[in-house]
Amino acid sequence: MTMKCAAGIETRTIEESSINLDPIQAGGRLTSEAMKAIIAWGDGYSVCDNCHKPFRLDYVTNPPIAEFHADLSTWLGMDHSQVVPGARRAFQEVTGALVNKGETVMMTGMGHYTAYLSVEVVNGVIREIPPTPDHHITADTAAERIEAAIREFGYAPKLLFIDAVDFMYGNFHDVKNVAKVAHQYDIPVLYNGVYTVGVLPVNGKNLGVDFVVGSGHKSMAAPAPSGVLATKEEYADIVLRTTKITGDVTGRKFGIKQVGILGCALMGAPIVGLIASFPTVKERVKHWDEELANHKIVIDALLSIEGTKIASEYPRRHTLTRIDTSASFDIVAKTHKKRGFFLSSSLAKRGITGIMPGVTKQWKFNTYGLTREQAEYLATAFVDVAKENNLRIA
Amino acid sequence: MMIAMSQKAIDAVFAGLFHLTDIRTILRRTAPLHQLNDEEKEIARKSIDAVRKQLFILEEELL
Repeated sequence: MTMKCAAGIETRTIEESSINLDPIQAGGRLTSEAMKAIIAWGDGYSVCDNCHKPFRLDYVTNPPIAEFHADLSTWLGMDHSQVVPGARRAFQEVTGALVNKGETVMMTGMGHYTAYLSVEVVNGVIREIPPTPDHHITADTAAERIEAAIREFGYAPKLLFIDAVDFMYGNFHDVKNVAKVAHQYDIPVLYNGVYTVGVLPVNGKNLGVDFVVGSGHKSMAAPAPSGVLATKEEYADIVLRTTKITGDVTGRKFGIKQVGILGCALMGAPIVGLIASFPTVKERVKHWDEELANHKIVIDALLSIEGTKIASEYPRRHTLTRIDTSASFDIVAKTHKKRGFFLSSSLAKRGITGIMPGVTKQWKFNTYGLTREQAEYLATAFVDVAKENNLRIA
Repeated sequence: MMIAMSQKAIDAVFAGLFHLTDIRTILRRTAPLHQLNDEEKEIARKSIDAVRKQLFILEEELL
């Protein structure tokens, strides 16, 4: 019988019992520090126990939320920062401040759907920068599409989104040069770092971007919903502006609450988890090369299975990879009694999960956070599944 | 007026949960086989001892 943690809610033990390859889970697994902090601070408004004048989240010193904000800006090479309930809310905060109805925003064709929706919510218009055939966003294409948008609308787009690493292929994109191009037209640049901030070093100033967005629950070992928005000084007063509204009858005012995120945005478990994991996160980004070395062990094993290809850029520079097994595991699936489910089923028997059940043509996985032993175990498991199904190993 | 409470019991509950969390972390790092190396075994041993100690405090304080 499955253990329950509350009525109708199973105890989730997937991370304790298995190697979980689900691409969105890898960087958000909690540190032990975050788990402990949540045990103590999980109650709804816990972090508001010590909220004093001027009554704003980023001024709270116990737990050290104020200190966290200052560290965060420095760490990201930006001037100001704010915590948000997920990267999508950061997108929304920026579009809300910079984009008016009918105005244009440049979006890469590999962007997350929430980036698109953040433009739609302000009734903006999207113009896309299409990826190259090898799934990259380039500065040349960005320049062409910006020019086209200017011809179409008669003015430069109000904002440009660029993913550092996309969720489809785990490919790196030319952020620096795309930002240079955008700035030639005075277009501010939002760096979507949901697959970089918290797992590898990111410095917004070096990249030449105006906003850095990170996801707490995707890459900073924090509970959902959590994320960060960091800005350059130039945009801080616009995007992080404070309230000026007054009640017309009551005369009520609301101090220095920030308008774009509707005041204090992150309380309880998400913010303490984010803060508690931060020292470990700051340290772990320095060990990205070790993560890539572990990933290579798994990639090499997969490539040793005849017919298997990497659909992502290669050699790999990220631990999220799209693999093409249409000429290996998918051939097995055609005649296997479990059809396409044989792969996830065979892996599950070995304590490996996170690959979409039934998919054997192209699928994604992420090895971030695995130990060397786990990476070796995973590599052996893929090869064993291939051998069991009479695929040739190089 | 001093109120009667057991700070020792409160501390023991949290300390116990924190030590159990350390064991949880080892389970994650060693999944799916949970074959612990010597260093991990030592951490697990210390954590288990510490949990026992907290349980003893709770028995003393609350029962």
